[in-house]
This record gives sequence, C-alpha cells and structure tokens, in this order.
Amino acid sequence: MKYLREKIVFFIIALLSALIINFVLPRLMPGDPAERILLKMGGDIQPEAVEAMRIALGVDKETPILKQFFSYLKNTLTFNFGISYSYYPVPVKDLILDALPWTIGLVGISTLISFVLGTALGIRAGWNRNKPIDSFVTISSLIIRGFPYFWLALILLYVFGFLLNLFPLSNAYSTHEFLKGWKFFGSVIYHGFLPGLTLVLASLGTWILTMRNNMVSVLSEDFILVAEAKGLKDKDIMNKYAARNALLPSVTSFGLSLGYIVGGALLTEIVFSYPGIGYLMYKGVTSQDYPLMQAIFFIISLSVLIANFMLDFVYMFLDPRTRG
Amino acid sequence: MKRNVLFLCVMVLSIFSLASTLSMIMDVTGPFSQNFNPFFSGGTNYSARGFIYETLFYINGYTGEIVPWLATDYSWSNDFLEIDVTLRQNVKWSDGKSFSADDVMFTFELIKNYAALDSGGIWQKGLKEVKKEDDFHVKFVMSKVDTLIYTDIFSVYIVPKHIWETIADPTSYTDSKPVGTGPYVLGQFTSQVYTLQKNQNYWQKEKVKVDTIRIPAFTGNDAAQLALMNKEIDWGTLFFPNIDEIFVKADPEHRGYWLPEGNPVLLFFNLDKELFKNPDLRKAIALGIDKLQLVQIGMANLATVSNPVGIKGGFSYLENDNLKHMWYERDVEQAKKILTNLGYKLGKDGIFADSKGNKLSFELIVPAGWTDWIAVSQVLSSQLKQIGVDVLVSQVDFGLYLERIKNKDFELAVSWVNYGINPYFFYERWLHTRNAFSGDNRGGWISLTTDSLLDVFRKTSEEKERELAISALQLIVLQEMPSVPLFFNPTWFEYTTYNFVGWPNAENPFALPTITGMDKAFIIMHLEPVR
Repeated sequence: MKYLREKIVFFIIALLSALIINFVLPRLMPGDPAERILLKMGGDIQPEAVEAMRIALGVDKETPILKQFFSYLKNTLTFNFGISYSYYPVPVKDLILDALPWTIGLVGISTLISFVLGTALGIRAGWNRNKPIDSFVTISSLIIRGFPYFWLALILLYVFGFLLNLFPLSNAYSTHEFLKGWKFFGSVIYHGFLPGLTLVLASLGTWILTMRNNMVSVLSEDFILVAEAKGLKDKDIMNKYAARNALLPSVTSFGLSLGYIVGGALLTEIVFSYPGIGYLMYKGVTSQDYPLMQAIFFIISLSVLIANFMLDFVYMFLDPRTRG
Repeated sequence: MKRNVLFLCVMVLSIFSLASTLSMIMDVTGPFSQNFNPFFSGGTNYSARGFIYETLFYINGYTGEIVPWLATDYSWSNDFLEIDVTLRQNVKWSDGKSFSADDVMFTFELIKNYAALDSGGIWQKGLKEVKKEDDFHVKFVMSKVDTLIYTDIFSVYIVPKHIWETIADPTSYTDSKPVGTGPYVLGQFTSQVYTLQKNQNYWQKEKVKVDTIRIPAFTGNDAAQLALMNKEIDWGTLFFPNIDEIFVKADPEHRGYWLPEGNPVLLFFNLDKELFKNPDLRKAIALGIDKLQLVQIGMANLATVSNPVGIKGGFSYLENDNLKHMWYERDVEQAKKILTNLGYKLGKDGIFADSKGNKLSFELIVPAGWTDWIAVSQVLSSQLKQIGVDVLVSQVDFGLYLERIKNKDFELAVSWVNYGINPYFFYERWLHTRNAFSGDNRGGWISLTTDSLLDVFRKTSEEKERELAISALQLIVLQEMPSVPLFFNPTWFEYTTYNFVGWPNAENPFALPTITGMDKAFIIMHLEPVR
C-alpha cells in the first residue's frame, strides 16, 4: 500500500503545481485582453469599443493578484470557469461542453483504432521479421510517420474532398440541412471520416514500430525457445507468449495518449473546420482569454494526471514487481 | 414515369425559387455559441447587428450618406446642443409588439447604466440626457457642442424595452432568442450552422428578397476557401491571396470580388525620440519609400496605395488641390541630399552616420504573424537601405507590440489607424494630442495648432468650415510628416452570382461590403434571386 500512497501524494502535488503554473503562465503574456479583440477584428473596431470591452471584462480596474488567484482557485475547483473573454458573454463551461464530445469522439475513436490496428500489424511484422511482409509494413510505417500530419490532412482534404468530391470539405455534420436521429448520426460519421483517417494515419506508424520492436526483442527470449521446443502451435506462441509480454510498453503509451485526447487535435480541427477543444484552446491563447485558457489547460492536466494514476493502478495488477 | 420525374424536378425547383437561401461566411471563428447580444462584437453577434437589431439611421460608410432607418428625420437645435429625432411609425418587433420612443429611451438609458455596453462611448463624449417628446419623437441633449456625435448616436442598436427590462445583468446576457426590428429572425441553430429567416413583420419587407440566410461555421481559412470555390458559399469575407488565379479564373462570369479601401497603414516615427523630432529626417525617410512597390510585393497587389495625405478615393473632393505640388514621389537623390545637409556622412557600408559615428540605424516593429505587413516591412527596409538608412525589422507578439507603442518603447512602427466613416474621424484619431501613443496617434504627434484645427470638426455643422480645417491640416501633414501613409488594407469581399445578383463592386460601389454592422442589411436588400 506504500506504493499507492506515494502515487496519491504525487497526484496531488502534480495537480497543485499544474494549477499554479496554469495561473501564472498566461499572465506573463504581454498586452491587454481587451486589445486582443483588435487583433480578432483586424483592427477594424472603434477605440471606444475597446474601452467598453475593458469595462465588461473587468480589466479596467487593477485587481490584486492574490485576489485573482483565490477566485481562480475557487472557480476552477468548482468547475465554474467564468465567462469567456473572446466569446463574451458566453460562459466557458458552455464552450467546453459544446466542444468536448466532438473531441472525445473524433480523437478518442481514432486513437483506439490506430492503437488496435497498429498493434495487430506490429505483432505480425515482428513475428515475421525480415520477411517481405515485415519489410513492407516497417517501411510503409516509416514513410507514413515521416509525413507532417497537417500536410497529410491538407492532401486528403484536397484530393478526396475537393477534387473527387467524395467527402465533405468541412464541419462535423451537414450544414445544408438540419438532420435528426439516424440521419444525423450518419452525417456525423461521414463528416468525421477524413479527419479521423488523418489522425489514424498520423499515429499508426508509431504504434506499428513500437509493437514490432517489442515483439522482436521478446522473441529472442529463452521462454519462446522453450515454447517452441515444447512443440506449441505458432499461433499460440505468437499471441499467448510473445504478444502478451510485448504489449506492456504499448499499453503504457496508450494509457498516456488517452489522457491527451481531451487536448484535441488543433491542426486537424483547423484544416477540416472540425469543432473541438484544440481550436478552442488556440482561440483562447491568441485572444488572451484567461478564463478559457485556464479551464482547458486545467482539464488537460487533470485528465493526463488521472490517466497516469489509473495506469499506475493497472500496473499494480500487470506487473507483480510494483506491488512490493 | 418520366413525366413524374419531370414533375418532381419542377416541384423541387419551384420550392427552391420560392424560398431563396443565401449562404455566407460571417467570420472564421470556429463553432458557434448562441450569443446574439448586439452590444458585443464577434461571430454570431455580427448577425444580430443589422440583420436582427437595427439602428436609428444607417450611415453609409462608402458614400457618407445618412439613410433614414428606424428614424425618419433629425434636426439640430440652433445652439447645437440638441438633436430632435423623429421615429418611424408602424415598426413592429418580431414578436408583434410595436416599436416606439420608449424602446429608444430604454436603450440609451441601458448603455448609460452599463458603460460596458456603450461601445461608442456616447455618454463619455457629452450626451447628457435623452428626452421623450411623444411616442415618436426623442430629443438628445448634449452638455457640450459636438457636431459629429450624431454618428455615434445613430449607430446604437435599439433593443426592445419589454424584453430587456426583465434582464438582471445585460452585460452577461447572451440573448439566445433575439427579438429585433430587423429584416431577419433567428431560424434554426446548431454549433455548426444556423439560419436566419425573413421577418414577416418587417417594416420594409417588400425590399427583402433573400428568404433565408445560411451561416456555416468555419475554423480555418482553407476549408472556407474550398467551400467558396465549390459554390457552397455566395458571400465570403475571406483573406484570399492569389484571388484571381485561384477563385475567379475558374468561372469569371459568376465570380467576383471587390477589395475597397479599409483602414490605412502608416509608417510611424516615435516622435518622443530626439532624432525623430527633426522634420527633415522624417521627410528624407518618406522620400525613400516606393509605396507602389510595397503594395505590389508585400500586399500581392491587392491593397490600394495611399496618397501622401491619407484621403480615400471616395472623399477625393476633400483633397486640397493647392497643395498637390507638395505631394511627393520616391526620390533617392533628394533624400540623400537632405541627409547630407543635416550633417550626416555616408559610411563605407552605404549607411549614413553622424559626426560621432552613430549610424542611422533603426528598429521597425511589426506584429508577429501578420505575414503581409511583415513582407511590406522587409521591402521597406530594403528601400530605405538605398537612401542610406538601415532598418531592422523585428516581429513582435501583437500584445507586446501595442504595449511597446503605448510605452513609447520603439523607433519605427508599421501600424494602422481606424479610419471611421469619413476623413474627419481619421484625422482626429491620427493626429489629436488626446490620442497620442495610447490611441491611434501612435507616433505621438503633439501640436496645439493641429488640435485646434481638429476641434473645428466637432464645433461646427458647416461642411465648408470642416473642409477648410482639413485643408489646413493637409499642409501640416505635408510639411511636418508626422507619419507616412503607405496604403489602405483591403476589405475582403468575395461573391458569386449563381444564386443572387446585385452585389456591390468596383463598378457599382453603393455600400462597403463589411459584415460587422448595418452595411450587410443594406446590401442584402439590393440582392435579387436568380430565376
């Protein structure tokens, strides 16, 4: 139980430091949030309107930094993040609740697909090392991994969306009609396909290569030799002996990437005009929207920490050495 | 069977022509929130301004014309301390209630009580009281003479008293179900697309031939540009480099754009620095600039070169013809001569230096990421090198950039001035002491003579007197060169005529194609569906 206690203490310390950094960092940005709206409008706004905005945001008066910090702590820990500056006067909570399902849906599902597919291919490649199938899988994963993924997204959008007209160019569902029920669901899948494909391709190579290399090193272990000597079936050796052991490191990184899902996928969201947390965060940072930025950073830190914590738990069961 | 299909086609077609839908890009700011509070700016709020809520008059930013809207007429008192406004009768709110002076009174009281809503700063500028004369007459009383204040008063969006008086805090009110007097009401809403439907109670509904406006959400420019090229969008406001090549060329007959002059971009000298207090040095630098080249290379030839006095084409009658001999072009020899006369000597590296060896080398700040302005600054730097002045371009984060200008912590800056609806506003923002450094007078031009000439604009109602004042100001601009007007940023506007005709363009410039305010409502009333 010492292990568990250590992990809980670590969790709390990490969360607290994340909270403090989250508060300090945005405030180190130079400039004035009200003036950032000038940027949004390309300067096309009356000086008086900036002054009115300053009053609305409450940045016309100096608030002591400690007072700001305590109201921030209170707001954050009660999940009441205040009103967004850049989408004034929409509450930050509403913005996040609007964006989160799309992010979790798109990034979550593509992470899962990519992990399952990549791992399965990696097992095959590792098992058949130095055979044509291995070279093919390994080389193509290296190539895919070499593409900058926003570029891949642009190419997919241009070829399949614009030239061939097979997929929609933007948005998460049809913007031409207001669909309901199954039709809406179908439209969501149709619109999510290209952005999802980009994300799957972007991370597939890494999963394949990780799994293949793990497989190769596990296959050189003695117990594999023993299994072969016992005359077990190849399929059983591959799945029950080798893959099960090779999977551990991949599970770790999968767990971590689950934590990062809520961070969204900024570039994919921008290229496909897909709603999500990534774009919201970008918007928050560029318009110096403290409440929005803090809320998103907090949620990301929280979910990464929780994913880590859960992983430690899972490890307790998977790896007897940690139970101590 | 065939006949059935044909019949079906005709049916579908007739439905389409009965209910005409226009698709437009309002703002590339990502998913929508149901926020139609007209007192704030941004994505969905823009729809509220003009399409849902309306102002007393529409001030046409291109022609300067004051078009009666919710009000039919206005008149000044003899001492210029009061404006009488006659309101339009038979105007209804979209919920069926009648519009009257009470709503106007309520709206002005609202922005008085909540300064955060007063985006024109009217109550700060000297509005003292709003009086109801009768149900359709309102009197605005001022504490001091300001004959330009009407532009701000007439631009306030009027909200219904019977709804807004029940709202506890209008500064945090998202107005998700707006009730206005305007041509449209909110149709369906999702975070990816919403529609505006024609208001069946509208007071000039015979002018509205666009039944539905569809506004999809875009997160990035790429997808928005592709949608425009794919005929999914009729009205765009996108930044679009290579617009001829990429957008128009595919179908010149149905695709067009118009990029009227937006805000002017200028080279500012920090006049707080001893060196720049010398007008001859400023003049030499101004003579070293080739504005046409800046626009051709830096702005992809999509911006309009400014004349030396910064007056837009639409207001050329305000240019002082007697001063045109002082208008200048690039003249490298003359620039070098001025610098030599000032006592600078050309060094071996081709840069002038004073007797102590201090080189004429300056830092020019420009907002980071503003790629077109950065390109302009780099061209500027190479042009000035030819007259022996060294300019280092530094890209600064936008927030820091404004802060450095405010703190007088810069040497040269490429920046802009908000033009406003006519050159009077531009000159006031550009040159008045009250706006030095903290406002649009970014170089900090401080001069009592200039101020007293600028004050004439707001003290008289005689157009002649204003013209005289702005003529005199042009002399100051040409002699002193407080900063150098370079070009006007383009106002981005693209349209297609597949579904609607009647768009404003260079041949028919009846209004500015901006989407932030009333202009879009005025424009939409000029559109006709294609049959």
